[in-house]
Amino acid sequence: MATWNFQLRLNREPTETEFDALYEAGLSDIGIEGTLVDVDREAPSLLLAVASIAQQIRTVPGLRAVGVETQDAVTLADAAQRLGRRTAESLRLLAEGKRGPGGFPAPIVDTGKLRVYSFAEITAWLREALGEDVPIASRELVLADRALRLADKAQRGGKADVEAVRHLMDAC
Amino acid sequence: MVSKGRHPKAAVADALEAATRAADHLTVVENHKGHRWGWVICLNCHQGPPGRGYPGDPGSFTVWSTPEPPESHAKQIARFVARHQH
Repeated sequence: MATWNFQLRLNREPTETEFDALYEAGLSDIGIEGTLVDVDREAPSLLLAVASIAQQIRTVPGLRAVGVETQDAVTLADAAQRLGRRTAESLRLLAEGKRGPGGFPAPIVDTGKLRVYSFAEITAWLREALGEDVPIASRELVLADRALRLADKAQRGGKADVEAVRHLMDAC
Repeated sequence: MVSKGRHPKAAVADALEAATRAADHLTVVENHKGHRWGWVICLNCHQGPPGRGYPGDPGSFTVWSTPEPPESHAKQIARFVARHQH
């Protein structure tokens, strides 16, 4: 099963107690920075990964995910998932100059074991050096973001709005 | 600098050491509380008292004591470092 990387935004900053509650809700595979949640979740699909994380966050009273954020810092495996049409191995060969014209963007962070790149730099290079038609955003992440934003808006509107949105979704 | 011991998970410990090497404004604070092992703090973005992270701080990354899997947490630390190369 694939591991999906993405970032969610919380509705507010978690308290010390809520940190532990998030961990105990099953979120031992996330990293938290302020209201940003960096996720690496194993799931059958990206949308199911987003849904499972959002559901676990929701079990902590007062906290919810209000949107998906696409951060620029990625490993080559993350970048391959976002691009959809390339494997991490093909990006690694390009990065090491074993394929392609060379000049692949340098990593922002290189720990010796882990390398983190700028996704914007990778996509710009794929367009310029290889002429690839790279999508600007993942369709699934855009869909997940809109769904979370809609749910957040309904939550803030009250119970009647939540029920109305549920009926609308059931009607789809 | 890593203030006390190494993180018990090797992948996380390596990522924390790399974080402190990456920039002078990145620091690791061991501060056990509940499931938290400590923090990685960006001193440029940190808005709380010096030398300690706090929940919700935009410049503090929470390091779990027992992340699962540790390799994913190591990647999250490396991404935090990348976001704070400023």
